[in-house]
Amino acid sequence: MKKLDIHRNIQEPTSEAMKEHMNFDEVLKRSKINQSSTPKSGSKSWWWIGGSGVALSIVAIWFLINQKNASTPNYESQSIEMKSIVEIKPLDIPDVLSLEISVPDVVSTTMNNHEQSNSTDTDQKPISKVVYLEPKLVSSIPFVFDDQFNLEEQYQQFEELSIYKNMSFMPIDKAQQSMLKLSWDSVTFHKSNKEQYYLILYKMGQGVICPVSPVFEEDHFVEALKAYNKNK
Amino acid sequence: MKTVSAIYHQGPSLLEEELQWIEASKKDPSAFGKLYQKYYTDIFRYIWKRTTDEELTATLVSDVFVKAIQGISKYTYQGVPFSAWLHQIARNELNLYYRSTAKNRSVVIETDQLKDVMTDIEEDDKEEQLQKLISGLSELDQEELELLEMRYFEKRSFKEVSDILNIKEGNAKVKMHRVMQKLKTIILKK
Repeated sequence: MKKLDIHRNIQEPTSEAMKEHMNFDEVLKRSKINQSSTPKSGSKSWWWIGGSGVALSIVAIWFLINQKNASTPNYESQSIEMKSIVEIKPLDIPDVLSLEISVPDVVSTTMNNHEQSNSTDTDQKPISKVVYLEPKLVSSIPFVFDDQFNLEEQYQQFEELSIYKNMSFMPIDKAQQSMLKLSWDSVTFHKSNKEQYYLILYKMGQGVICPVSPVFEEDHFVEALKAYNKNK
Repeated sequence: MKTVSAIYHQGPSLLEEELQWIEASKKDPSAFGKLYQKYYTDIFRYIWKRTTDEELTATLVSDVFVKAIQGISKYTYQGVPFSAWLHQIARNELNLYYRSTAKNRSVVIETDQLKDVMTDIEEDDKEEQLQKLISGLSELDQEELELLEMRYFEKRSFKEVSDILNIKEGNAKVKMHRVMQKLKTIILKK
């Protein structure tokens, strides 16, 4: 609240003094002028006009930002730069054996499963190949999560991140950076159907979703890059 | 605490007369003159106590009545007296004014009124304590201050306070009780 000017035991104007200011004709006149929507000469009317202008500007800016967001990353629309699981198009392969020979080791487990479960299936369905996420370098991350959250264990559940250690998280929305510095009861790591990674930060039973990009600080980037080159 | 506002708690005949003036004003704005005469000083006093500037008060009162004439067609008596409706407009005008300027909000108090507050919060009414109460007023939020002003500094009834603040009477009582508790805590802390 604004600072108060407190006046103690001051004399209020007398009824006569108050009535000296009465001027009903002027009030009536003003009420008619204002009803015809002419801006009144007081500063408040200009404030309203200014306010309307500001409101229009906000709507215009909002529209422009939305237009821009159609091409910039956000939680829902981010162009999945980190998209890591790619689909292999149906191959013209005569039998399963030749397929086992031609694909990298990483996929062989998938292939074997496929063979066991459907060895007589002649349909050529798309096969998923794990492509590890290429490590991304950032200068520094101003926050570190507590080891007790086991984030490393959590992100290694995702195949494309399973080869990495000491990975960090950069919020997509920079405004959320300061939020990550807060003390949280627990933090969980997830990936949406649209391939967007996100953290859920829990405090007092309430969760906050924070879309993130997996990144590496300088100290761990070289190690991550080696792991990537070895497995790609 | 004595809380009588004759103009607010008027009898059925005066109320009936007032409703006739209101209906006439809806058809012909110049008929509003009687309502203007009746409520001018009341609204002036309400605004002056929150500005302490006579000229500014006169301007704001004028704005209040301009808006009242423009909005009179929307007013229908449904238990909220015309006086409270005018005070609601005055309250909005004051809020608009203080939001648009850097000026400090004024509060007018008398020593006896401060002593009433101290009595109700069961605290000593020595000058030192009164000073603590005065400095504690700035720790109240806007609605809390308005409640205290209307109830203790203007001696309005809970019915009138609740009508002006557009809240239920029971709610006004509960809020007032909380304000008193808050003030007591503030005084004891200082």
